[in-house]
Amino acid sequence: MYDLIIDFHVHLGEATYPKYNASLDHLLNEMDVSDVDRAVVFPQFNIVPGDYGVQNRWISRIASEHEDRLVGFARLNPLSTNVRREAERALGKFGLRGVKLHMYDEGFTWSSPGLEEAMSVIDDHRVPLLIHVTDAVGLAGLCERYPSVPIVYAHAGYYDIKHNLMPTDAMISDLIPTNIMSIVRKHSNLYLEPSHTIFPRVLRRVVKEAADRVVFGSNFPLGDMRFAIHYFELSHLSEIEMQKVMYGNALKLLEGET
Amino acid sequence: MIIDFHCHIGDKGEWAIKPEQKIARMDQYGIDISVILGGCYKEKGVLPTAFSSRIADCRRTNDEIGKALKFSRRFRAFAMLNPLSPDAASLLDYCFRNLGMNGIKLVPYVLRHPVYCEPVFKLTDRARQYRLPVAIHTGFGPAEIWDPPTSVIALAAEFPDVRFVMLHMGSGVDISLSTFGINQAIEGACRHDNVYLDTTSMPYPKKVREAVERVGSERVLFGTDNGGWDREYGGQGGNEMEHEMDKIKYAGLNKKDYENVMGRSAAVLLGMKL
Repeated sequence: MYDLIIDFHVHLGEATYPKYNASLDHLLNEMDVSDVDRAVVFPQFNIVPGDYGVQNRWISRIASEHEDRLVGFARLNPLSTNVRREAERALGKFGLRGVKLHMYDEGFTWSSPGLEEAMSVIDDHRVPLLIHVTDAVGLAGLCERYPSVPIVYAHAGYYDIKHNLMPTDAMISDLIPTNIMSIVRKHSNLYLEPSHTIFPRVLRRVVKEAADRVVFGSNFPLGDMRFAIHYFELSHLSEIEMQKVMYGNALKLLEGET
Repeated sequence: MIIDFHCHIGDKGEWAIKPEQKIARMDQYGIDISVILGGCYKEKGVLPTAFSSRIADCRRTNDEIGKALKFSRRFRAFAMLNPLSPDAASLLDYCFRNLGMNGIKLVPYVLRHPVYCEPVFKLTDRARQYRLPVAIHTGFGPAEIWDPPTSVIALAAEFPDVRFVMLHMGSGVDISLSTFGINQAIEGACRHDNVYLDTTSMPYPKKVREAVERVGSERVLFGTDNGGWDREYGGQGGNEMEHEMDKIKYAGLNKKDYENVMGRSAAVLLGMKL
């Protein structure tokens, strides 16, 4: 149906909690039945050993063995004393092409020194960052501090994105007062990956305003790739917009053309 | 039979839809019965941008829903109650006896009361006397400190003969940690057979399938959380019908389970003759 589909949000490998394990076979099968051509893959959540060194090495190997299907990202833990070295190794020796950070899983904050260490290495290597954050205000600050790093906002803010675009109904804006789109407008290095969101009409509005800054993602293995694609279809985008969000923008990010 | 276990009517913002308009939308999507879990009506002295379901006058809201029940036999309704209000118990009596409502609806994160508190215990005890189910908004994250799934699970453990519906199955409005909420909701329903799960707002077909496999399709309820019109975005207000319905289709359920989730289980919960 589409020239290409790139899934920008795919967890892969063993997790501390086996329930969240995602095997390579499982992933490749889901990609095949969903007509997903390529996936950006990174390690699942692991508490131990903490620096993701083993997992990043595995992701690097798997990605190189399936280079036509998988793009490997490193996962880093900014609370690890080893974060700078692991970032250098993952993006250098292992050849991983981006980084995933997760504030809730890893428990770091916007003021964690390890975050700055990781970001400086990411900045040096000019690779994209996919990040799951606790608040969008802090994310705006990160965009400000690292303007040359393409930052992809995992899950795109969920309810924030709806209720703060909508001045006529501030149903929960007193709880989540961040205006996501104002940050997108202000920071040209911020991209949105809307897995886990549930409003096709809101996605349509976001793409209408920022078609060059939205990438498709499924949040596999929790998310269903086929349904994630269907979600974009329900938003009734134009053919050109679909080309951008399903693969065009992702290609630019991965090829450093941003 | 398809039963939308979770929808709203009202005259406010994206929830504004009249009963006759709701019936037309039900026809458009093949919905036989809709369960109205609270109405969203303008109130004097309250800005229209305020929380849609933060209502001061529960009696008026329930009266409006009562009119919808008279308008069509294709509606069912749960009484929208504020447990902290002194007249909550008498309003429940009124909604059950005079308006013919089928359960209690609570929205703790909006009305700012914990699920696990004395006023809710009292209302739940009243619900037990009437054999009414209690439907409670659930979520997990900073926005929903009032109603995590564990609080409903605690209530369900103490009131084993009352049926509880975890609306949104732990994935209400806050994304940040909601995966944990979904998992808690499923775990709780596995351990307490008086807990039901409503699929609205929860993003993943895989989790619908997991709920059906582990809890049983008899306790998983399809809903839409659909409102009226969202003029700002150009589309349906609240959650969108097609998205919520397709989520169940993509779960890959067998025919029996699919039919249970889409209506049969709700019919049993509501005491309808099949």
